[in-house]
Amino acid sequence: MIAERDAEILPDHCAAEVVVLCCGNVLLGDDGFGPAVAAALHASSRIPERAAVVDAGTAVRELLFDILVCDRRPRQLVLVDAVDVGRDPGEVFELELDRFPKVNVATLSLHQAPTTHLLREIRDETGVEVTAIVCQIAQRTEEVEDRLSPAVLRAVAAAADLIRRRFLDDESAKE
Amino acid sequence: MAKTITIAPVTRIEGHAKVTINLDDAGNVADTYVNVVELRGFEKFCVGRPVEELPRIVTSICGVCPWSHHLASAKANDAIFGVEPPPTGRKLRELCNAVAFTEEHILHFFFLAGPDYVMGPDADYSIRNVLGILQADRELGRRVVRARHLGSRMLGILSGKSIHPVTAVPGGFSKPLAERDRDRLASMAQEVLDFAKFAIGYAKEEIFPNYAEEIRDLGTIETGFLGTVAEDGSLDLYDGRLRLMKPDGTAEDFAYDQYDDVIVEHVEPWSYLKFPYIRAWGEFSMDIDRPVGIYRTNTLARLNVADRISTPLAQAELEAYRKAFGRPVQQTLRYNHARLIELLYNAELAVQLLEDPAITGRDTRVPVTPRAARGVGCVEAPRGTLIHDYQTDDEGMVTDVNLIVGTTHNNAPINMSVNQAAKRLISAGVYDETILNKIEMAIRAYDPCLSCATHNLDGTIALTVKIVARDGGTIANLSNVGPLRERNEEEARPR
Repeated sequence: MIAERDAEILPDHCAAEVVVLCCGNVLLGDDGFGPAVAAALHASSRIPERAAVVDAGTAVRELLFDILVCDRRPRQLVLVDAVDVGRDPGEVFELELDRFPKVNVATLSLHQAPTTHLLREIRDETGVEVTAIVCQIAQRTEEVEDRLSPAVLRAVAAAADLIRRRFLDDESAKE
Repeated sequence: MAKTITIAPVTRIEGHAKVTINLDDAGNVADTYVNVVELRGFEKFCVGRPVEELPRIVTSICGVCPWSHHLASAKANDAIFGVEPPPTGRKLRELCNAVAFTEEHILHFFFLAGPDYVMGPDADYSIRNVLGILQADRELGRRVVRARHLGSRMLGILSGKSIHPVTAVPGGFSKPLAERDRDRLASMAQEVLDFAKFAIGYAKEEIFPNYAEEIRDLGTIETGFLGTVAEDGSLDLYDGRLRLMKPDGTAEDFAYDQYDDVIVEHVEPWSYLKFPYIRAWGEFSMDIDRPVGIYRTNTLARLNVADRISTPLAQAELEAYRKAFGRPVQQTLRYNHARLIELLYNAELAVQLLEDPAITGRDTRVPVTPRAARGVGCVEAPRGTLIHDYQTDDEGMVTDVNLIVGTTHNNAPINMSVNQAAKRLISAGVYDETILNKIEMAIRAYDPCLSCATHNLDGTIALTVKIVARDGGTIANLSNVGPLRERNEEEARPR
């Protein structure tokens, strides 16, 4: 059992039973998908006490490191992100972490390959159940742009609904 | 045959970069280039927005040092509006800055640069990372993690959120600190200070002595230095004057809003990132034997330019450091040692600020009125001097923005250190992964944040080395883990 002195400072992304980490840069167009999903979840429903929905923004690396190295970790980690893997723009799907070779990041998008790598580390090394819910971007953003493309914007509500049903509703707690 | 070696991405630095090493026909290093990605179009994005929105927007530039951007932007706003925050508002900003520094410096030393030292630069890549440290010494890992959690929790108490802060506002700080919260923070700050004392002792006894030769030689170059000092010449990370030190140790101070009189930017066709240099020192040159105009920022620079440190334990460490290595220190890998002295300083400063009765004052901000003006805000970020320069119209809407981030100042020195390290380590075409990692160590010492736009997860990123013939054909791919290594084992063997 975690010591009381540790519990006081434990970040939500380590302490909660279910953690939804929504990551991305809101200044890079469709990369802002994750933060938009976090906002939608907070706006549309009460987050149960056992769960935490975190707008990780561009700091997800540090939060995942925390989870990886902390003594107390969530049972279920859900990462919400934008990817570019050649699907239809706005398509929301679960990313298969094992689909990616462990090293070949030079030929993958740096946007998502390292994330999948660390998620896999968390899953394999700590036993945390890891799910990555991602959205195919419509286009890569070359310059700063704080708007989602129409296709990705439409996907935000669908992704939030999916996450709510699968991980946040009371029924999901019984699984 | 002439070859090109490419290291991409550089591991365990913030963002990503590509290192290209060109070998000549004899297999010796001819040229080196560090190419980086940068966030493009940010200035254009800001134009036309209310300037008071920028302290909130700039925290999205970078998930690694959002507090530095937040505070530099708030200071630029103060200048635009022509106001000074009240003492409590200023102290709360300083406190947040100090806590954010402790969190960042712990992250860098133990999670990013540390594995090279704790596990050794020739350790297998699969254990030369933070997990390797945790497995090798679980108690050390537990202490590191707890210290980082403390910093994060402190920032949360101070500002409501630690990832994308919003509490520094034009004219001060939006949220007074309650007495009860001050008491909670004080005990946390004391614990961070205890950890900082442990960290520097650990590094000095267990780490640095084992790598004396690498620290002395690897990536060592001769440059000038830039950093912020208080009126009395002591180290100051939140405010003060910029001090520029020549390689011979002579120095002059100037106000930070005059930065563009002193610093000009050189452009290279192979890099998006500009190369700032000192106008008065002559025509820009990155020749490692005869550099011109080159200066460095970040921890090594700040400790070189500061006459003293205002907190007792860090001052004692500075005196010992100067006695051992002189002033200015030019050893690139001493950035890590200097970083730990700064960790100690910030931990002490946080304790001091929380003991100050003014920290819980209710008067935290002054009102502001829009006007046409230019405002420059400058803070020392963990990665170097950070300058935000804004101009507004008479309704307070942004008309121009210029940012110089810490890593940009160090662009030329990073390139020079890579060049020096590559020339020292590679000859007659012979190299291996340990040598390439040592070249990366020289980069990591600067703690560069090469792309504020990315959120890639360093520490587990593979290192890829491409060897390309002059005709453009790939001769071999080297990598540090997984299938590529197996596929290219023959080619990866040192020759």
